[in-house]
Amino acid sequence: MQSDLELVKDTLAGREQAFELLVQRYERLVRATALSIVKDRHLAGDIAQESFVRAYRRLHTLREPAAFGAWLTRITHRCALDTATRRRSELPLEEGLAEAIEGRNGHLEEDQQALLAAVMRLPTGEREVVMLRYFDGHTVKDVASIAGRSVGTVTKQLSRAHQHLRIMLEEP
Amino acid sequence: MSSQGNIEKKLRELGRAVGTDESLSRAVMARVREEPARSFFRDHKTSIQRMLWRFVMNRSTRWAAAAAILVIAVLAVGFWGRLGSSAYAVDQTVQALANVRYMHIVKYDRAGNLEDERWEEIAPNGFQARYRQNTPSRSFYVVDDQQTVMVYHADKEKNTVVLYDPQEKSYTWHYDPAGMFHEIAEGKPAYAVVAENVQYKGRPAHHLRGVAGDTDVYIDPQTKLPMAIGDYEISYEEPPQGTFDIAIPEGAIVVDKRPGAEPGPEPLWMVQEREKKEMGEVAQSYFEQGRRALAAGDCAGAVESLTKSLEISPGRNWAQFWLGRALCESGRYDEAVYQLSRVIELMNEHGMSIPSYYLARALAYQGKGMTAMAQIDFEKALPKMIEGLRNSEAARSFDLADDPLRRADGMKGQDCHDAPTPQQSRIMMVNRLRVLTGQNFGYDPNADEQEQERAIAAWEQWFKDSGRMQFAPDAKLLAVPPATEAGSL
Repeated sequence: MQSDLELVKDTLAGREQAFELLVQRYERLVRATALSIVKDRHLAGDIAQESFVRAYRRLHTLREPAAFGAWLTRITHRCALDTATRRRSELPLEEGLAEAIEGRNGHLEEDQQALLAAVMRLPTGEREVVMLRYFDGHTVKDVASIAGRSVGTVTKQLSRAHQHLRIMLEEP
Repeated sequence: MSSQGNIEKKLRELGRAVGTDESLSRAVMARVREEPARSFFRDHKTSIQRMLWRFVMNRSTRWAAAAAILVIAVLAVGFWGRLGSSAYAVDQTVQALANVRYMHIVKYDRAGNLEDERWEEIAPNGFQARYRQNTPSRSFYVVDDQQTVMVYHADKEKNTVVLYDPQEKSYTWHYDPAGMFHEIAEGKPAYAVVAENVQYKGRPAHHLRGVAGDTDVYIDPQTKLPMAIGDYEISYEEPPQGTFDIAIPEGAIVVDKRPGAEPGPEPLWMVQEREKKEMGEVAQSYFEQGRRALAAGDCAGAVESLTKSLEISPGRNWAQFWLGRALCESGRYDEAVYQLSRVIELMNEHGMSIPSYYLARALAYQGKGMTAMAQIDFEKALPKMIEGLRNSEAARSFDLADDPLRRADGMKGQDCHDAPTPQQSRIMMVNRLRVLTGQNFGYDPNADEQEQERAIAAWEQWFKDSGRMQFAPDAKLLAVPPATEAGSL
């Protein structure tokens, strides 16, 4: 499994396929980040696309390529907030649009929204490993390779994330 | 199942619900390939130049830089030692906010121009007392001195002051820090500490984030007061003299709406805005009439009412959609295609794509005999329809588009329908697919998940292998159970 560091370097060296692998690797994380803000799957898909393109444009400014995931999350967060703000303040449709948004097949169940909100409240490192491990089904070893951390660190971060989520979700 | 196992299961389910879409990476890569390479490499070159500059720094320069960094580090350690010695708790902010008398709130645009400014005086009971708002970006100004609320619409075409009784009209900043932090004190987890002792615009700060992930808050470690919420920066100094004084700008038209005052004639723009609002209500009324007519099979009546609604208030997407459908059901396919194309474009302009709108236009094209165009639209809708068999959420736009009386958009009345249950929604989708594709692949909504998945996969494969729209009006349809029964399935 190639690390983010290697894929970012390859992309900067002009190998587009490396960026495509990053897109596939982080699609769920980016969608989830967008969805936690705009609560709508279609819109989250649009935001995901825009976030990846923005990330590509600014990739050369990324100081720590190994921290690509956290950096991408920040870009997505900003992009989703911009979209949400624009949607609130600029759309002239208002009532009609509100109905369309309601009708767009893109809402998570209430408890899933709560879980997603809790995941988004996790510290950056924990959030990233949780998403890679459970959303994308990577093994702990793969998560460690992707994020450039040791298996021990990833295991500890997952364990802490479980504790945090239990508290936030008031699980026994 | 253990608690950990339970959370893991829920996280995996959430991951599946978030979903992926093959087309995303294709779309991103298509855009990436369109990126002008020269701008990318120019920026990249700048970055390389910076690296080179670092590399060619001579030894003495590097020593000087290292010494400077060391001095800064020593100073910083002392600074943090004073500020960050004890852990921050949000309760400290609640206490600090209780003593706030004034808030000065500002927001700048990307160019550094003042976009919005508020001054709030807080009464001893914690409520807002006097208030001032300067929003030059919208030429909008407000002063509330607790006796009168003055609203000044400053753009040249308006240049109007409206005076209100504070009981009738009030303004406030949409964030309410005291309320927000009070909620935390009451145990509502509105904000979580992200990091202590970070930097915010060159100043030490603690970083909090809203539970919903949409607002960042920075706390001053010394005063424990919020220094920034969202894009707004906050300070707590006393305002300049006269901040809350009401002063009518020279030359402004004055409309006095306070009780007992002589209001005077309203300027034209106010009359027009009021009429627009009233007309919006009329448009809504026609919209509702049109939906009811369509539901009752009175397509001509629906076309008439929905056309009137759109004449008064153009840009209502659902009015446009129902009009398209009513025209289609009347056999007026050319007009239906036109109206449905307009609403599809309208949604695209807002970055949205509603699959059920494409399906409706596919049917209109089919009615016109333009099967190739119908197939293109059909292919846009079909993947979402199949997805609707797995996830009833994906079927929602189709459910809405099938039922003009679906309760939404403020539509009230006993004849309105609530959203179908997930089971009803899946059965309705199976029926749509059976009629439109002529296939059924043995999908049984009551079968176990594995069997259902086999049928869905077969439908997906059929679509991949050039599945074509194929009407089967005689297809066997499943009975949709009533809500109570379906809910219990």
